[in-house]
Amino acid sequence: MQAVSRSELQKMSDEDLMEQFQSGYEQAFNLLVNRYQDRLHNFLYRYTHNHQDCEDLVQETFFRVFRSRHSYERIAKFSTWMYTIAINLAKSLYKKKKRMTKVTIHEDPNDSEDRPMKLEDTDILPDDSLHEKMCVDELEKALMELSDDFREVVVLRDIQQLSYEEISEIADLPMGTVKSRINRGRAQLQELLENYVYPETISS
Amino acid sequence: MKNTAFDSDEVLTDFLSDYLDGNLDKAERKSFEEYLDQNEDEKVFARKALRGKRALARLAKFRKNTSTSSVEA
Repeated sequence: MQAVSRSELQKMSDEDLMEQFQSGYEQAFNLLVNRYQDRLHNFLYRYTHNHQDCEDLVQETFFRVFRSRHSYERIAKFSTWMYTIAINLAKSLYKKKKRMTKVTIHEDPNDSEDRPMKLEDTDILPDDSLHEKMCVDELEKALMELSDDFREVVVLRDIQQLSYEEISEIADLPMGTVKSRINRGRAQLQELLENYVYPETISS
Repeated sequence: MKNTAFDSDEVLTDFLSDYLDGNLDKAERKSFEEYLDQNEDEKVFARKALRGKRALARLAKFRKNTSTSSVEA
């Protein structure tokens, strides 16, 4: 393993630092902690409104980053991955304390998945047959083909099931941009999937 | 992918997001669907976004079931 100086580490992106950390450089982890501990604390305060809880959550988040370092892949930005861990921990804490009055998650009775929508009427392409042919590998492949900007927000919304407000904060983007990117990301993903299944029917 | 009114109109984007999330009431949904009926490009886009969302929901369910999501480790 080639030695990397601290000054070189400091110039690295978060994702490069994670790779260094995965290779055994704990100093890279310390730099990530320095970069994010204050931001993470401020971010978590909106959930807890309690500085002690924040400190505990920040500590637990970095512990999980440390412990799960080898499960991180550069599919997502490091910050997205880390903030998602933090949010999940914060939500768990709220559930435990029963202080959270409402969590905006996707899986609820009002979710669009459970509601009839006109777009699913029979005047459209055979959606079900398309989905039946679709396998998880293709979904993963299509997701990887999305641009980073689109992949980040659709993963946060549709995989991690975060609210638009949370995504706006994590991605540091205006709400309108978040929603627009999510919808475009979903539509592009669908185009990719259709292309896998019915390549001959897809126009450019 | 074709540009649509959703690229330039934030109100329409809000409508579409709420529509896909099932957050429009009956009257709003009907109004939005009438708009889509009159605007083919936007209808095609909305349809793709809906299917993409559902595909991602399947992936999320799969990941959850197989406990392979690293962030939940």
